[in-house]
Amino acid sequence: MKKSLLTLLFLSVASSAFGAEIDRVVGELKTTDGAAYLRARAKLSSSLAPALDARVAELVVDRTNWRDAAYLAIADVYVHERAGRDVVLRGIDPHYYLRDRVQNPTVSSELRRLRLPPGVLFEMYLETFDSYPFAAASAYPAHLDAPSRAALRERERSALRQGLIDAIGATGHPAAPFLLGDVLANEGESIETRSVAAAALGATGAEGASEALAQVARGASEERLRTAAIAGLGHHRDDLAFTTLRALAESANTPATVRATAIAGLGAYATRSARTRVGATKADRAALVLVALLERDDASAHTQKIVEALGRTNSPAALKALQSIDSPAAKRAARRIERRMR
Amino acid sequence: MTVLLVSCGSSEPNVVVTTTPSSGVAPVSVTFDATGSSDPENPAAVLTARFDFDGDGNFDTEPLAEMKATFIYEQAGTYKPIVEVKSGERSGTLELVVEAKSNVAPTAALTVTPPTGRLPLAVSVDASASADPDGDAANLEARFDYDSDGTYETEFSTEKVVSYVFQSAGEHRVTVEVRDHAGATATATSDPIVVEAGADIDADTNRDGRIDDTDDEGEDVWSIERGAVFLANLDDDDFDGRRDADSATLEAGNDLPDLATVLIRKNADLTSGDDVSLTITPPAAASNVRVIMIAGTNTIRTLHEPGGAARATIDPTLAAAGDLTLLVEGVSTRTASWDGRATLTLEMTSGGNTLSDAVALRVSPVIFTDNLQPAERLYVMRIDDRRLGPNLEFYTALQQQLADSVELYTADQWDYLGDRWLQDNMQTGYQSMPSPSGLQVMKTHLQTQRPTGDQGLEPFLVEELLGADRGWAYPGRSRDTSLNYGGNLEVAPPHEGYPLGRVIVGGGSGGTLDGRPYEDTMSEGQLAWLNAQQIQAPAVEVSSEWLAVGHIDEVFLFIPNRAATAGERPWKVVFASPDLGIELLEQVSAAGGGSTSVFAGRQTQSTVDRILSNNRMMSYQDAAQAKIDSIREALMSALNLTDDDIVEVPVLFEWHNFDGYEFAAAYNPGIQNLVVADDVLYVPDPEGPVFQGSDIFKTSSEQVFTELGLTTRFVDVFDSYHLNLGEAHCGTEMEGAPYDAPWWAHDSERR
Repeated sequence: MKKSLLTLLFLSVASSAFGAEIDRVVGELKTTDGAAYLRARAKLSSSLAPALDARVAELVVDRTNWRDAAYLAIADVYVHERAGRDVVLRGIDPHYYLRDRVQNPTVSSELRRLRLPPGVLFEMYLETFDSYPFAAASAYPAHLDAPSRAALRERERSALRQGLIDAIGATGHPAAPFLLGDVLANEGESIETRSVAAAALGATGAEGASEALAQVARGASEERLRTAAIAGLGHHRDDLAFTTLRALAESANTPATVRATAIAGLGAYATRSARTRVGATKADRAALVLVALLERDDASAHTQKIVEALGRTNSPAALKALQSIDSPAAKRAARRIERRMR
Repeated sequence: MTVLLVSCGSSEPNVVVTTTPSSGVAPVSVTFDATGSSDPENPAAVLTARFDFDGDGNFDTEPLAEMKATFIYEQAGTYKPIVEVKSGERSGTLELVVEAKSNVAPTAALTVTPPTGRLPLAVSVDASASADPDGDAANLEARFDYDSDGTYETEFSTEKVVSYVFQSAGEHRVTVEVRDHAGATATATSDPIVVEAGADIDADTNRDGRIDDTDDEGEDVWSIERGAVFLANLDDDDFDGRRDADSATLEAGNDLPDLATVLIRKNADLTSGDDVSLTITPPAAASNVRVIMIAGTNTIRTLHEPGGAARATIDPTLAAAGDLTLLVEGVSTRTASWDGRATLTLEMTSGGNTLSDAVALRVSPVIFTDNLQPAERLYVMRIDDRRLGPNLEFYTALQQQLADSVELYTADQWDYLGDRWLQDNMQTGYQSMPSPSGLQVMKTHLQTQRPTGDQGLEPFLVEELLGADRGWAYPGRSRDTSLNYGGNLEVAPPHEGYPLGRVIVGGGSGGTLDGRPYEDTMSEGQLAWLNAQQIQAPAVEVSSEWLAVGHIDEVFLFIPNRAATAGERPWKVVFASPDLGIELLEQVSAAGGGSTSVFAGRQTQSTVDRILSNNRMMSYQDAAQAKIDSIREALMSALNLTDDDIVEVPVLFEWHNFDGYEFAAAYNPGIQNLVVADDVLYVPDPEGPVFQGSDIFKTSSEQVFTELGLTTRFVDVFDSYHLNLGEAHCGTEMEGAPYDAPWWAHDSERR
């Protein structure tokens, strides 16, 4: 018994010491960059694993501490020696993407498929982006002049940035929605990257995400960003998302392109897969809004979009409503739903 | 004529004979029928008859149980044949009379109207007044010798009124010979027909491959029924690296059959002071057509150079010396600003009088073949160098399995730096025109707007493939987009209203799958060029702007239906179906196979349940299916299809971020993006979940294809094509055999 008490005492002291160490190292990771960051990272070892895991388990992530969570995830990669730390992506390697059909650098699909640990993605986005091993100048075709190569390099960087945003959103990590929200709100970031963040943020379904998206959806002056936020709301599927999408879709004053995206967003809200996840009632109410729109003269320019949106659903309520409408578009939409219900 | 004679004796059989006929013009065939005879004493007796045809007392036949016989009286005269009918030992005879008359020869009569006129002079030649004194004039046969040289230009026929066109000036006479049934003949020669010199230009208006008298009618208007045809001379018969139309001379090698022939008929009245000219209209034709003139054996001159003056003068002494041959070639295909029509007008001015004649021609459209046409040549690149991304599994499969009837044409990996997208760089097609030996076909491929320079396939068609009877057309570079590539251009097989199929392209303004506004289409210039070919136009445009590459072959393809019954459509449309993909995954999951790998062994492998539990991925499948349903509806409407004309294969989609937008691409190798080689399909291996011993995606799709009477061969495209946003179809181009149907019989004016 005495020995056991001593052991416990030792473990407690050690745990406390390791806890302090992990806090200190993570603090260094957060506050340094470049060589100092790498020196800090080098201090991470498997001996810190229990303390790290304990910190991760006890942390309730919110707006104020999401960076802590992100850096704990980074630390996790090195403490547990997770695979994927040195990932090299073919989608931004000119050897590869210049051979594909559209010759656009892109890594979103590749990153999703690789399913890298969240910490790898956080680190690439927050710390090591500039040190990513982009292709050497010799990797570009010889006929390209310097400006052309620079333009490609810029596209590669942009693609990596967007890919990371998209993949971080798909990790399900609790820090992800906050990072994405920051990117969405960051006016210094490119519209393209913010647009990717909007869609990814919506797809997280995280609490509070729809407020940020709804704000952009209602007020952004940049159409690309605005429509991206609307699309994100379609993915999100909470009540605020629904009311925002509904308001935009029903208002004749909404610009046509924005309204079309809102209609598609309602389709996403009511989609067949949503039905099994958010419940039939929620899915049905979005589908019924679409059915009602089908009869409105001021939405006639969007008939195809509405039919397509309804075609994503398998809502019996929408089908019943459509069957009472005598119009070719309603018949088409009904056929689509019947087909999905088969 | 029938004669009935009866002989009755008290103990003899009754002899009854019909003679048909009993008289006629020698040689006359007479049938004797004694079957009406009887034996009153023994009605049940079996009777026989024998016949003495010339009445010389010697019977010419044995007793015949059938009691009938036929004899031909070759010489004129009166004959008394005898028929003997026997019943047992008893017999009766009957003497008949047959008269074989002498034939009286027919008389011939001939008129030709009008008796005078200018070249080319069309006349009616009428021998209907000819007569047969001892027969029916309608049975007289006639043949005609239009120049009275003793050689008849027609065979004997009962047609006694014919048309003819005199192609040379001077005094002509026509001779007719009429023949009666006995072979007696008579001839008549017309009064002189005076044909004055004139302007006469002829082409193969009736499209039989020859220029003759039958081409004059309706020669100056081009229509479905009539009008000459020529080719845009876009091949390189002399292998000088340039298309033959790009140089002003007649090329060496086998260039001549590629040019259409037009003849200017000799006008011996012309003198050196007269004016002879050829004018080409409309202006668009003058810009796109070259006319080369051949006179005698040593005069070759470019009469009209594209872009030059529409009117060219011709030395009148050449036109007076003999027929002049013109060779016509297009230097361009039909375009949005030229419908391919050209009229050549010949004018001859002599002594203040101007004579003229015109012929209408039209350049062939470029016609693209569909997947039902016999496979002739498959283009693919072989890549074995690691730095270029090898495709040896795919290439070797084609090399080993392709039927001998299909040539495998291999593009060099280093010449084109691994640019493997043969489908994108070109669309194979052809032009055709009538020739003496049948169809003159020039393979003419569309060089799509895909500017790779020497870093890719751009030189492949214009430099490597260019050769004898194989050329290219290029609408020009207008707007760069991947929607210009060949994978975004398919041909629906022949169907009602489109006997040579119809072009389908992708593009639109429907936005991305998440509903954001986005528009992209095939460039206006390339689409206008496609529509200008007319025969397979107007192109149907279906939404593809939501796809990462923007090509319709990412979603559907036309495949044969070899199991079609009579009256059933011999082809189907195979669509990618996310719904089917999910359904199959759900079946596996429900059966306990949720952990089964998808893309097993690949770096990016996943599992059934991981896919199914990905909310965003599932939502994306719904959006993709809804968009595909829209395409399906549009295609069904445009091509008049039903649900029975469509089959589906399991394909899931995922999104790729380009410039802040999400574009869709196949998640598993797109099964519908396959290669059709007659009855064999080379299908991208979908690498779906292998559950209970089989890949459920492969099993599902193979079943679909087998039911259509097709053989399925899966090919590995994952690393070599799929991860580069393409599949098997994208990496190949199949060149099919030209359609049997001549396009000119279907080149509708309404399009």
